[in-house]
Amino acid sequence: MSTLILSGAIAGLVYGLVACAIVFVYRASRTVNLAQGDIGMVAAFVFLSLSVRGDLPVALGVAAALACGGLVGWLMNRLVISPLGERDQGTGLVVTLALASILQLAALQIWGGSAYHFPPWFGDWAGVTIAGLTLRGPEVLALGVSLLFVLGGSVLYQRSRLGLRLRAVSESRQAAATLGVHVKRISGYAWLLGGVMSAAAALLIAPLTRFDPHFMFAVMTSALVAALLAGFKSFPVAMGAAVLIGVLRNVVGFQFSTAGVDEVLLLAFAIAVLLVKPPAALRTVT
Amino acid sequence: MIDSLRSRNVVAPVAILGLLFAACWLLAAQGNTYVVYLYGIGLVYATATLGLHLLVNDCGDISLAQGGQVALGAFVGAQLFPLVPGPLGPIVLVAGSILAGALAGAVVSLPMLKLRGLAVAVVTLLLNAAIFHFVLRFPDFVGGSGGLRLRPADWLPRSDADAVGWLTVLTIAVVLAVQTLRRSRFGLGLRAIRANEALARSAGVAVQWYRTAAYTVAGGTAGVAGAMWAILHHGVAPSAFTDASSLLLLTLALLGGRGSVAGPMAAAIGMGVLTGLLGGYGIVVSFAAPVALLFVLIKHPGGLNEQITMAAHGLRLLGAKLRRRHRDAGPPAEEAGAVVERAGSAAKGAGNGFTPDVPPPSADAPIALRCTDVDVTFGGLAAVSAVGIEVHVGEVLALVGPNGAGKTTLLNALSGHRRPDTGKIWLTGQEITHTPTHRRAALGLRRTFQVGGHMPAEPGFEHLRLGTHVQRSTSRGEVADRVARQLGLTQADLAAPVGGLAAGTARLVEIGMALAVPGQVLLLDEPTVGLTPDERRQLAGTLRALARDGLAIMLVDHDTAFIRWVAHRVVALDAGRIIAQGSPGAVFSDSVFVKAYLGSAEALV
Repeated sequence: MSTLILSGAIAGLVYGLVACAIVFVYRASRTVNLAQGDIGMVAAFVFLSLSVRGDLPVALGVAAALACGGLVGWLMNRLVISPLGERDQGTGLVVTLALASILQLAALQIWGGSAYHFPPWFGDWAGVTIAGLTLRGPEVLALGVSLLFVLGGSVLYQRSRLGLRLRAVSESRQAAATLGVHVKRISGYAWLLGGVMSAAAALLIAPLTRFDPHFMFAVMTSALVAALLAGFKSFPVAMGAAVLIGVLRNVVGFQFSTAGVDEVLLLAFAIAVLLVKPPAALRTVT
Repeated sequence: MIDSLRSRNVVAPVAILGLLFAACWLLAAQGNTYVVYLYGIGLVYATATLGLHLLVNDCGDISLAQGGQVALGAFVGAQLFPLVPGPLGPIVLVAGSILAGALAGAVVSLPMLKLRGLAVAVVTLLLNAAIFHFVLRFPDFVGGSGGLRLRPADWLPRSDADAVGWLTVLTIAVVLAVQTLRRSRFGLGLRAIRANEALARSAGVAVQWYRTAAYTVAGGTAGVAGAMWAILHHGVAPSAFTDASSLLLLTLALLGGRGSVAGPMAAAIGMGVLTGLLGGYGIVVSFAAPVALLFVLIKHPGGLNEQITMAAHGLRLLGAKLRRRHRDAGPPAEEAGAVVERAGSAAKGAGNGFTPDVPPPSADAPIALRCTDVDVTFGGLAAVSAVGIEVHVGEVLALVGPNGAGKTTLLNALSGHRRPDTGKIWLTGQEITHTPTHRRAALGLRRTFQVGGHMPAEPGFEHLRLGTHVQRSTSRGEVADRVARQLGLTQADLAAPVGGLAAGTARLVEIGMALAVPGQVLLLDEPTVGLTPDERRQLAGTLRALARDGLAIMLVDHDTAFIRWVAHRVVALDAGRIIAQGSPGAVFSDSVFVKAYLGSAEALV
């Protein structure tokens, strides 16, 4: 049981990375990006092609995958979201769902629909055992890298000049523009960084799950619920909710072995939490 | 004119779908049943898209689960069908499908009661995932990988042509039902929600329930589409649907665009037939839907409806040219008449609409609206603090003060758009502190807005109809005549989309909306913005007359001349507090007020 909880929490950290990417992009451009997970999917396949089936060194392959994630995110904003201009938020949802669908179709065309073996990080290292709990190699890496991203992300967001401009844009695009912030460029950076985060999440979760063009689906639905419960606003709430969802998914999925039961759980969980404690940022009556 | 419109709305879909069915029948007689079958698929798409049209294009909400609800309806119907023998079977099939789809729509939109549309749209995505990854994987529910078969002997159409006949009847039924809803108070309420939620609330629309109902209706039409799918295929298999079908249906609704049902239906039937004919190029087809969606949203947000309207307009122009009727100049003459009439009414307004010295209501006139100790804070800023104010029956009260004094915030607290942190509000003795906005509107508390208080795409008549939303039994013609007379609006003003009117005329339409039913209290937020001096004088006269007839009016304005004409009493706010009150003359020469307003103690002229 405790192993279930622990590995669920670590998966939750990775969901949390994607959830934070969703919040990050939403804050900068008022768009809930439903393609956030599939950006990572494409990046993971790029890594697979370059470093597993090709012979690029792993470090370069990882760098290329992260860059690819960033590029896909940036291009989405540049080619589709930005030309749409200021529309209602429903439009953003529909458009990014269409983009997700295009990414998946493209991946199916290029890499096919069957599952691949994604090699575990650190090859045959058995992992670490603390107090009778074993963490496998990929899990240790997922834990470390997620925490690193959380730390780095908050320093970037709170301390750097770019972070200041990002926060300004997320508060008010118009006010930021009048203060000399290049709003479109900053939104582009947010999409780029969001893409990099998704790519990292995908690389971390890939060895722990079935790996095919749909493998980010479960990650994406969990991350989306976490971001929703955070009102697409608060990073810590998104991260916390994601860890909770990771644990719940793991425990419930283990108790009931029926496929897809965790998706129903997620739906019920989302509706229940939204009704009992609606996030302030999304409430209608103030 | 209304009757002919109504009959056109019934005759046109029946005629078009009937003709298409006749064409199918001919094709089937020639042995070309594949196209007939594809047309049947198109009808299934069209039916599922109709409900989405109401939800997406009228109300502005998004459902990402429509495909899931179609599948759910199909399987529930196919499960129920064998339970009932005889001719009742198909009826149970359809009814079960509708119920299943509608129920899923209702449950998923429950969070709507508290949250913005965005949250519910995301929840529908989860519903879609739950249906496709869980419900449709129950072997007992979906009948294994082979799916459920409907026994052909049991009162079902045998051939594709027969089935398309059935589907045509069902589609027509759904078109008529959806059209009736869209033209009713409900449909108008949905369009008002899309234009401006605050406006819809203040017109008495129960916004949350309307949106939940829209999701339910969309789910119901998805259910009908599911039943149609099962009838066309004599059963249903789990492989028939993928979770991408929801995106496809949404694409069809957006491809169709706002307005008539013609656009979405044309998109759906076209997509059904085309994808079938291109069956060999599967990959092209699956890329087509998302790419088409992106293209339409970026380049042609009006969708097919816009193209259809433009084409129809072009045809009419062409027809007019061919018949050489362009010298007849019918419409311009009418417009000229309207201008003359308008000028006349403005002159009338300037002449006798203004009655300066109506005495204020006696001090023992009952209190219409009262609040005590109202505090509203935004974060750390106290926008309104400890304000107690009352307006009597028959009184016109003006709220004045510099920008940021909290005037609009106070109006929002009174109308229910902003819940005060502390304090109580009474409407004619009844406490309404926790009453939602739309119910306050029904109780007779009406208001207008500083900006965005109208639906740009709708004509003035529809605004007046929205104004009567709280009263079912109001004659539209009578209301339009009365309001037009009171405010000096012409019939031409009321017939054109408000977005294209002059700012002042649009403002009068907004005020007319608040006057459409007899109320108790009228709150006006900067009613004179955009009005000419003549129109201001006439408005002052109208408001005075309304007050004399027993209406209590509270208004926010910056035009001191207007306030001197119209107000019996003035309350001055600064930084959320009342700093002066009394007659207009007294307040405008009060040194505290003048200092707050102008920064120096020089009296207003």
